[in-house]
Amino acid sequence: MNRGIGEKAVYGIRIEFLVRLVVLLLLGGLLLPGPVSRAGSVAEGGEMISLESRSESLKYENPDTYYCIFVDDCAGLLTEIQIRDLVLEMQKITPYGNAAFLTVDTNDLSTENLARDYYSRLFGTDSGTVFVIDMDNRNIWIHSDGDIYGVVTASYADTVTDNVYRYASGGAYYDCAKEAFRQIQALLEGQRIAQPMKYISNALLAMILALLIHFGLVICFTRLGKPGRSHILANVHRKFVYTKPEAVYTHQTKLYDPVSSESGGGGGSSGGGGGSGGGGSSGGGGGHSF
Amino acid sequence: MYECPNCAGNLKFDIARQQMYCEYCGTQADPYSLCKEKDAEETRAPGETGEYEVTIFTCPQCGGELMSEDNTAATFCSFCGSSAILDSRISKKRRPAYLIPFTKTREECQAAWRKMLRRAVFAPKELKEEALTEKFRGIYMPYWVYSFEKKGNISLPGKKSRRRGDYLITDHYRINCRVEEEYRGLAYDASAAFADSLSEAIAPFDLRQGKAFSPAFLSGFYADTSDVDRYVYLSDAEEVVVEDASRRLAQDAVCRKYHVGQEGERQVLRNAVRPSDRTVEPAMLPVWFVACRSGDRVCYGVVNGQTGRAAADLPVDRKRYVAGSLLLAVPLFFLLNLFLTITPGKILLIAALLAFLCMVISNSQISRILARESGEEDRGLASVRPPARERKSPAANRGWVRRIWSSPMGKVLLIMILFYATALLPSFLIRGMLRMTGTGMGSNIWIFLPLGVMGVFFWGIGRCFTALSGGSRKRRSKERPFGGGHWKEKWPVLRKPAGGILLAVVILVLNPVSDWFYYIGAFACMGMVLWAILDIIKQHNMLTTRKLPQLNRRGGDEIE
Repeated sequence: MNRGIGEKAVYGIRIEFLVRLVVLLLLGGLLLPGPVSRAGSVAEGGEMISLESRSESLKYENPDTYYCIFVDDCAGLLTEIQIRDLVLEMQKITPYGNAAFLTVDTNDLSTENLARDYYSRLFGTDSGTVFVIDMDNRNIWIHSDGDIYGVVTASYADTVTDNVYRYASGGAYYDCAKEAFRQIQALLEGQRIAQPMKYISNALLAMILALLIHFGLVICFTRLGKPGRSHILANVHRKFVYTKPEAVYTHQTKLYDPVSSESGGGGGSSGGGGGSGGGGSSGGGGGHSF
Repeated sequence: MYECPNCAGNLKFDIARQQMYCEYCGTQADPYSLCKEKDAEETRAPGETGEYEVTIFTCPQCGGELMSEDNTAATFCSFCGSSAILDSRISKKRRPAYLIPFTKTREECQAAWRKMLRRAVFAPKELKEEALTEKFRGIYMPYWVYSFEKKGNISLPGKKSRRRGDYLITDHYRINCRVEEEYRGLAYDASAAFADSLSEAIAPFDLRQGKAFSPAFLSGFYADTSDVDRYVYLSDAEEVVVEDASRRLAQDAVCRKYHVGQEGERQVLRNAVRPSDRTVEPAMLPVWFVACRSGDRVCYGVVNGQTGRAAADLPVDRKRYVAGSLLLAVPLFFLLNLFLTITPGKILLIAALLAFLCMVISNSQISRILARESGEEDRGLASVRPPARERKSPAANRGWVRRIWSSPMGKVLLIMILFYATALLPSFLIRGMLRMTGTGMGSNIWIFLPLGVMGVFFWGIGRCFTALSGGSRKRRSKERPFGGGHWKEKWPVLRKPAGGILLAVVILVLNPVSDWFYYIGAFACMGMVLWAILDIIKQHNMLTTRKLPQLNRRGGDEIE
């Protein structure tokens, strides 16, 4: 249904990114953020055709793509109005895949494992993304899979969480989640998200690497060499002759040296045939503490 | 000066013709047919090579001496590069046994020089200027030529082993044969002014092309005087011979069958083939030589006058280097943006890793600079300097480090251990302890425990460094600590990247939530790295240039 969306989006992002980067470089505005998508209004066209409402969880299904939205506010961080608004924001992701939002206040796992397990339980290996706020570990995490993971890669998940963790630090969990999904949607639509620090870091790193690479070249190409011994000997008058060596027997020695008696042991039994493990998750993500 | 028999002009040795040639009337003459040193010939005693008369030019600035058959004033010094009228005097010098005449012309030398400079992209433009190549001076460098000989019977232990039941039975043999070995023409430079590194770089000379010495060959050229003792390189030359002879004998089928020279018997084989007769003869070998002076440093360019092999001290022009690096940084930046998105923590770690790399490079370079400046590296120079207080190099004080460092895998292992010990381990340790206490950084009581552990840890690391650098040995002998490892000289340079690493460690240990700490720390660390890299270039330039020579000659084999 949405086959190829991820690939196209990645391709689109890369082309646009390259073009913009060259233009911005020429204009000297390299470090300025790109045209970040503005927070859109609630999708008027979207209609909740299947909405299950509990005190802290919601489910929505896109009638065209059958992708779903899940909101589980177990930690009770959002009000009902905020949850409904967030669902409207998340609806914009459903053309590309599933979306889920989870908050927890107790967690025995790492946030990454929680997000992975939660996603796997809800969507299996289907295309989608989940945003988790883990109040126990004070972490936020984005986990994606399927086509969406082709766009919202682990690197981009890191970037998005880097961009929104400040909201969570300030207690603005709704804003945090809303901004995270907005940036995910922007990525899925082929837009660029602001990552000025990446450019500064990469610029410095590129400069250092260039200096070090050139140093390596300087060392390699300007080192004072030394001729090898064979080269030296090739240029001297050399004569080395000897008569055929004769071996004269002198004596014999005997050393008690028992061979180890340890046997090698039998071959190991072959293992039974394993059942198929099912489709493994190929997804991944990134996160940030707050 | 050799006068032309036709026009009384100055006869000079012409490289292309390999004859004495008068550029005024075109007369050619055999170098051996011309003789002006009658007095010198008369002083030759039976069995000795005698003396010849020559003009010696002495540089008033560095004391370097050049010999010439010409009486015309020399206007610059080839050793320190200074432009000055050199003092001249007539003197008698011992005749070398033989000489290799120049076979590469100045034009060929300049072509070889330019070809070599093609790969020195960042070399200063002064080195590439025509004016410098015009200053190439043909100098006959003094060399000691070692010859070795051995004729006689040798007897070596051999054995064959076989197993019978629980017994290992070994039959022992004596392997007897007669060897005749003769190695002639291993040449080592005999001038302290001519650095070993440069003479090795343009070696070897084909001594089989050597000719009997005649002072006429020097006409049109200069010659350096020898001041290095004839026995300085004897062991080096003998080692080459012994290694070759023992390897060749060990390859014989009979020797292989009876495991001659294997399993600890190697030294026996080496001693058996060690030459019994050793002779050392002075020779003059052709070198095109140029010096380029920059402030109080000088770099040398040399071209083998027989083979055309060129070598030079090639410093780096820092402006060119930085400009070239900026150019390379642009595509690297695009590549990094395409394939790399790094989190704040990772960029901090990368910055710390780069800082550590800079520390390793700087440390290695400063050690080499100190060895170079002290003259330890140059056997010839060390032999003419007054004997300094014997001081073992830091590497010599730490045998196990040297052994590990000698293998490529060992190098990688040591670098990894040092990096983990100084940067990563402390941060992980603190983090782990904080997590274990479950109190975070909020509890003052629990902060002291990991800090105490860290203190002990760093103290231990410091003790290790001190021990490795020979500091404890120095303390025992009531000398200053860290003296063995040259910490005093190294610390001003190493503290920059070390500061970057320390900052990174502190941030990683504190693990603040805000990214700004990581970015600021990473950028500060990278700034330190950039600074350290510029220091590394400065050190490289120190390594590729030399102190102005102070050649208060002479010694060695001179007869004054």
